[in-house]
Amino acid sequence: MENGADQDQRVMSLLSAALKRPASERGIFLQRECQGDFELLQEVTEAIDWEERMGNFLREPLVACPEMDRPFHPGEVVAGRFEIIREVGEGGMGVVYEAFDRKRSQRICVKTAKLGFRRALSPELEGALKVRHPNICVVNEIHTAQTPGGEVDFLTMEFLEGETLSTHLALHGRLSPEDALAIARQLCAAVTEAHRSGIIHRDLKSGNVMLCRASEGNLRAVITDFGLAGETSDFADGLGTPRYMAPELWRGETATKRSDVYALGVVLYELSTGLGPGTHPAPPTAYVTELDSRWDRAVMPCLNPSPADRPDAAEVLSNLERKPRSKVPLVATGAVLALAAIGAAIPGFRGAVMVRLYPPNVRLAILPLDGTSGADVTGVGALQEASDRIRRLQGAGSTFVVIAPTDALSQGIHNPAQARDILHATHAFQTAVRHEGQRWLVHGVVLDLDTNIQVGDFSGSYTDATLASLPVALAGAVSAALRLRTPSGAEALNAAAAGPYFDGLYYLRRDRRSFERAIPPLQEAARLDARSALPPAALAEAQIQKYSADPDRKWLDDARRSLAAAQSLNPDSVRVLLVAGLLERTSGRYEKALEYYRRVQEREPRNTDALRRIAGIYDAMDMPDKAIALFKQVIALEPAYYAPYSELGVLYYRRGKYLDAAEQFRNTIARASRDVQDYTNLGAALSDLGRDAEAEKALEASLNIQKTAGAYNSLGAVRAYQKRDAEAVELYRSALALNGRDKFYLLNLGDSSRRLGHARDAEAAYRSGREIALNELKQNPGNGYIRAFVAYFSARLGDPARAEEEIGQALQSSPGDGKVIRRAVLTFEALGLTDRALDVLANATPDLLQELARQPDMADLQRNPRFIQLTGNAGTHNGGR
Amino acid sequence: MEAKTHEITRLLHQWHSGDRDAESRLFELLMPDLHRIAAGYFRRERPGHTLQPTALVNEGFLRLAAAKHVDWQDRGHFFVIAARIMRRCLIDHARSRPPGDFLSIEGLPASVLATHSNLEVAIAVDTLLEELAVESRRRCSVMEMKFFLGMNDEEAADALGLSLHTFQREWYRARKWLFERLSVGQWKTAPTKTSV
Repeated sequence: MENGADQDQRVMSLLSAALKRPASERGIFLQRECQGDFELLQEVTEAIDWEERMGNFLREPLVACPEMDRPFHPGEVVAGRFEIIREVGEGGMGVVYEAFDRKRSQRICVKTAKLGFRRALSPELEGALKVRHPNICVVNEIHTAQTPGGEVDFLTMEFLEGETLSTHLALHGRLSPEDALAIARQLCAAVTEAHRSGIIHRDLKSGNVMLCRASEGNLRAVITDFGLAGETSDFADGLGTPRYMAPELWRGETATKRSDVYALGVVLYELSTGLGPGTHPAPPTAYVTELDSRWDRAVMPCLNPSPADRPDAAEVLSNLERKPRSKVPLVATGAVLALAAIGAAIPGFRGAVMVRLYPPNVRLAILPLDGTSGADVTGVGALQEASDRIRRLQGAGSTFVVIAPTDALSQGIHNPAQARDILHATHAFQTAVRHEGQRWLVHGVVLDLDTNIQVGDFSGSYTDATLASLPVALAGAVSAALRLRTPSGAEALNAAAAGPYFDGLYYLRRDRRSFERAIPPLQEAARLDARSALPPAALAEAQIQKYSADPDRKWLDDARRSLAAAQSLNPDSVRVLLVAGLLERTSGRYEKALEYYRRVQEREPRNTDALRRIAGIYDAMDMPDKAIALFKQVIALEPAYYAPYSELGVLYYRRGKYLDAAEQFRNTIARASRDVQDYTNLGAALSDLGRDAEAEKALEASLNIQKTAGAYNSLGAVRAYQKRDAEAVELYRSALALNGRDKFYLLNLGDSSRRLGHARDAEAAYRSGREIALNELKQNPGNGYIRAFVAYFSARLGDPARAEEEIGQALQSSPGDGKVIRRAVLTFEALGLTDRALDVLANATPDLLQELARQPDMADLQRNPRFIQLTGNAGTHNGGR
Repeated sequence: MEAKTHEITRLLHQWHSGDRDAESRLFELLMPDLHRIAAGYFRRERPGHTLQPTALVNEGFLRLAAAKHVDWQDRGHFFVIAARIMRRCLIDHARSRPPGDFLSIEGLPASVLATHSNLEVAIAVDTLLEELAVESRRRCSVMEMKFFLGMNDEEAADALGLSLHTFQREWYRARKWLFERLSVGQWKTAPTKTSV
């Protein structure tokens, strides 16, 4: 009956594989798998039969008790002052919470034993608490709280933002030699200081080292749980961790400074090589050739089996500090080879290699919160801030794209299924905020949309005083779930400013029209936290939006002042740099803007936001080739994200390359199938290509999603080209009802009305259009596109001199702009100057020529032999401009 | 506490090498603590997530054994013995409790389930296990660890020093053995009360 472990393995793995299949397929599956082994086939078939009959028989244990009560719960105020925000960690017997100390107004960490396993902390612990060192987690005090389950002792300590060294190594592999050295120095210094005070850690390991970002962006390593092990097994995992245990501890000897040094050696080995030392450790340089020999000198003696032969922590540090003499390459190579051979010979040797687990390319949709009534504005704003932070997390070796909640909302995405089907997202972050009295109860889950499995979750209870830390915590939850890297640089906000800041951010990002409501709360936030650069930076952004909507210089001056405030607080912050670039760009100072965006790129090379903005500036500076190359670079970085395709499409379209534009808009739609704007754009490009039927389809799809002015206008243009001007007029009027101040709609209305013989309507439309164009031109005199409109309106309103002058200037300031060329041709034709029109057309793209050949006002031009020749050549004309 | 820990370590070794006297000594030593843990299940009746007794026993081990003095391997032995004790505790406790405390046992024919309470089925499993132990000590342990202690397969296989698949096959056989006997419905509950 016993055929040994191999037979068990065959039977049981076949059984479980077969049970996962539908009953009808099992027979064929087993016959194939058993390959004529009838005994095996019979055995498994019989087992399947029995499993079917038994069902869950005895599978569930006889009793299951409710989860042991947590000593504390989010929202609770412990010992009259510590407000529990959320659980951040759980060990065998202990629980760790993020909390807010009301007395000192600071974020702290509360560490306690689970109920049933608490014990009074020993008096010896007091000594351990007295060690003060920047690389040792500061334990503030021991407190006692009354709970329904009895008295509970707990520790309060510094709240550390970051990840443990062990997590970091598991996700990203070894540290770079520079980081490794910096961290190793800090760890040695911390252990030296503790040992000097007579404190032994007893359970030093990479899981007890937190990696945090200091405000300058440098890595700071902090050793936690100093002196807690052994003394109080309730608070730390009382048993030593085998991999870090010095040989003498295995023999039952007690922990000493020297056993701490052994553990320190293991940690240094891990952080420099990404590997555990194993039982026969090879020197670190054997694995990582970039390391110099000081690592071998510092680390290897720590691992000496004999405690007496180990150095003390201070010596380890000085060994690390001593610069090595130059290496002899031949010896090093020999060592590597020899070790590789040893590695192959020791079974399980490679077991120490830490596995990097990267999720494949991630396209995360941050779903909008439902409901935006008064109280929730703050919650939505906090989510927006979290989304800004999440956008800047970096995928490790894979692409990571974030679809912000406002983007999701604008495309009507509310649930994970829509995010998957419409945005083709791979993951979704769904949050719910409930406002209950003074508290916000926040719950969030990260879902893998392929499998519908929850890969991360989050819950916490926040008040006004603690809300500032919510976005950081949400970003942290996403970062942990998707194994992303946190960018450098701390961007903090105090508690008082958090509420108004989130309110302001909500309005700032909701759409481009709510800036009026964003400005007052952002001003309030800036006043309440005079040390954070976040509120003034956001305020500057809102003021720039205001200027764009109402080009009055004074808004730009306000923005400049807000930005200066932000820059004085944190000039290197990526957000401040982005706003600075935006401001310079808005003021037409492109070179300055480029400078700021390049600085963002230096700090965060994968920040595609900056790259896209740089591309936009090249476009504005009339350097389309550079812009196109950059967009393609962005697309290569984020091939699944729709926005860059859309921007590239607009660029092509503006340059008169309708076919390329249409392709990009189709790419966009393939990645975000409910984006109204892109259907409208596609419709416009197709109609310019003369593909009316397809254009109509795209525009109708757009209007079905949402009635927008752009789609009405484009559909109007399609009708006008089909010489159905009466229908076109209706459509233009619908567009103008939604947006009455668009010069383009007025121009189209004027043209169609004119062709219908409604001279007065036409004149009224042209007049309004000219007024708007002139106003825009005042704010932006260098813009040839706007000037071309002024020229055309002037021509239609019987002012040929002005028209000629303006169009000349427009062509001079924007010589490569296809839309300006087109408008110039139309203006010259309106003035009866066909030859001038033809001169300009020498620079036109084939797409533009094809389009003009169908334009309803171009009858004269279309009959002109030179034009016929040009369009005839268009097929071979290679896309010049 | 210290002396007790050493004693447990020594007894676990002896028991593991086949000393049956060590088993009863271990019972005496561990019973009070584990019994208290078992009793704890019945006091907590809040709905919500469930935690298997194994987590508590694991912690019980940590509390009883000071880490530096116990070979980590002993934890496996400890689980085997703890599962046996847990079986005794739960069955004893259950006899004095309303039957509603036990989860229902699925899979048995309706005719059996309709005529026997959950408690009766549990007691019948307990009684039958005595018989199974004669046939295969190992399968009895497997059932104790899964059904009374609620361990997961990996932990339990580890504690018994078996490969995962061997363990799972043993468990399948133990379940089948019990199923065959219980689904007949002719069994009786043994009314004897074990004293602690």
